[in-house]
Amino acid sequence: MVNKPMRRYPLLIGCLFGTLQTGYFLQLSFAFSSAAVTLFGITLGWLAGSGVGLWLAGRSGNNSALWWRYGLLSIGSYLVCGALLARFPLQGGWLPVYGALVIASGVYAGWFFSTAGSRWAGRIDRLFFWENNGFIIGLASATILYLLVGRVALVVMPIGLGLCAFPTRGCDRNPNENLSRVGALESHES
Amino acid sequence: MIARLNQLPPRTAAILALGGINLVLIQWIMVRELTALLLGTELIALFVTGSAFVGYSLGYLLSNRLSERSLRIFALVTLPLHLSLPFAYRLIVGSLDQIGGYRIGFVLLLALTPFTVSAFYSLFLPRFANAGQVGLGTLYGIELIGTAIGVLLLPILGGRGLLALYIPYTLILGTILALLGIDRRWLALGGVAALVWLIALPALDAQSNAYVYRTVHNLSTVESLASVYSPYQKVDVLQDSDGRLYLYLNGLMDYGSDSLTRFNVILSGVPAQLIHPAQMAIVGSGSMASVALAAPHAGHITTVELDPTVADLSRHYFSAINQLDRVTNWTLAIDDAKHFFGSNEMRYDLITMDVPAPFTIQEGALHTAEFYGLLKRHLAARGVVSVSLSSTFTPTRTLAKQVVAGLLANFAQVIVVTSASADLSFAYASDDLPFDNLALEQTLRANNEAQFLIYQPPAVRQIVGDTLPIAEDDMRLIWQLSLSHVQRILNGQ
Repeated sequence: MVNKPMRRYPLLIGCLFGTLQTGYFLQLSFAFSSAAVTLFGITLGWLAGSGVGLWLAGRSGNNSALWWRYGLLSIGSYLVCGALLARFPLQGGWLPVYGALVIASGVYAGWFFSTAGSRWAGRIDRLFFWENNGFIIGLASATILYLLVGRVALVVMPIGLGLCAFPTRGCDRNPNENLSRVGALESHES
Repeated sequence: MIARLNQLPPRTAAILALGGINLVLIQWIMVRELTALLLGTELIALFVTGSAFVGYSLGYLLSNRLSERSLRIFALVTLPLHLSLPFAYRLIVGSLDQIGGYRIGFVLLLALTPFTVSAFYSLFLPRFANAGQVGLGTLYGIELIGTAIGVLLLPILGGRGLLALYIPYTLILGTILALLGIDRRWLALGGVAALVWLIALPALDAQSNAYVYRTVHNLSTVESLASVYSPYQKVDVLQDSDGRLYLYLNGLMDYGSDSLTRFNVILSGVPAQLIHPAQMAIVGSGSMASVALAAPHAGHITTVELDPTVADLSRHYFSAINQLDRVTNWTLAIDDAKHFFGSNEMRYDLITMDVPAPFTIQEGALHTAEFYGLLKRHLAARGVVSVSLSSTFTPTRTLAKQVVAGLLANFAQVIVVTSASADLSFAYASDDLPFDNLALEQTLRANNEAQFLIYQPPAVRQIVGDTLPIAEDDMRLIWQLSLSHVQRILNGQ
């Protein structure tokens, strides 16, 4: 069983990922190109970024205290991309820059799953379940809110979700973790 | 990292990577098939995507609850299920439509998709991770590699028809079944059945596709000539017993009816005859009938088409209509129209917008005031933009008024023609229109347009009033059109 505070973090992070991917797609489609290369580029860039995130998490020994670094990188890259698109619309020369920004945004996804893996040990199915539910909510709400209120939704939503999600990060600590620490301490003392 | 990879059982790695590839392939097939069957608008595309993602959640939920035996049964069922899915969906929708139950099919397919399409492949990652043998990061990384390979395969295989997708898909799924330890007798039986199925697949594909158009679209005698999943949509070419050709994009007719034939005449033929453009651009291709109508009157025509599949099929099947084999003053640019006009300096005397009605965000983007502003920067002196209003122009039609409002935000003069034969209105916009009312009337009559209405610029402004245009930050109309489309389906209309 996964309690409510615990599932809140992956749910909100999933929502953030869904919003970021939808936002990248819509913004790049409008201000760069809606050709297939954009869609494939965003998908591959995000996957590559996730791979980098996994690698970085592995290198730091899944040090979850570094969340702020990659969280800010993810949302910051997305906002920079939006700003560049607004300043230099429909200019093909920026493709490598946009690709790099999508990769940078994807880093948090890989880092999130790698670091959450240890805290959700034995309940990985639930981690993915709640993250994916959040992703669906993010994807649908970003699309619908964009239709209803315009591009402002694509700027406000990721910032808002980041502000809501990151503080709940500690809530997904494995409730058995403290017990096992006590157990380890006891055995160490004995 | 290398140490962790050494701990990774090859069977686990292979299942995850191959599952990642296949998930991308089956999703590519089913999202396009389902969107076309449900007559895709933005909201329907969202429902279909959401439905596929709900399948992931379902798989995650089940992943730890299934025994090894249940998993093997699930896997064994997945082979025939996935191989027959597009056909089964077509038969369900077609047969329900015949008894007046299309709306039931609409709900049923969206409800079935999570169980039938994506759940199976999402069982593995959490299951292996929970076993604790290897860390989640390593397992997730392997699945990511598979997914990336799947995405890279799409540009190669995606537009080559169903068989090109199903051959690697079946081989991969068969390998996964073997890795899961399915009994060899079952594997052999499944392999033989899959082979027979794949041999029959092109004929089954054509028959079941035609069945949908005979039932849902009431084209009682059509045969399916081509059906391709492009990166953007499902593209279908059909022909009826009278030899008439039809082009459908995501289940919505782009060419085939009498009114759509007249659409090209009023949109492209009439303004080309009036202006005799030295340079003309046509945004969107469809059947490319516009090219044949405009070519005798234009110096050079450039068609800007986003989807190469549409252009290829049009060249192949509609040559009698578009006469591209005889047209010498025409070039094709495969590009997004926004990107095309945003990245060159060419100027045109006439630009026609041969694009579908704004049922999706991408189509809506080509009806925005911002896009018309971009087109204006590419017009020569006294250049004209010709646009379909996707409905008739009356004070009560929001869609037509919003499209014209976008033109009025950029151009000093907008004339609207309502054509009885096309059952649609069209707008010709310019800062200084190079033809007068009399010339327009004469040209319409010369093109066999017996009944028409012409709204002069002051009348157009009056009807539009203070209606706001479709804009990059105001796509509420697309939402409303999508919503009313779904409501009509659910109400059985």
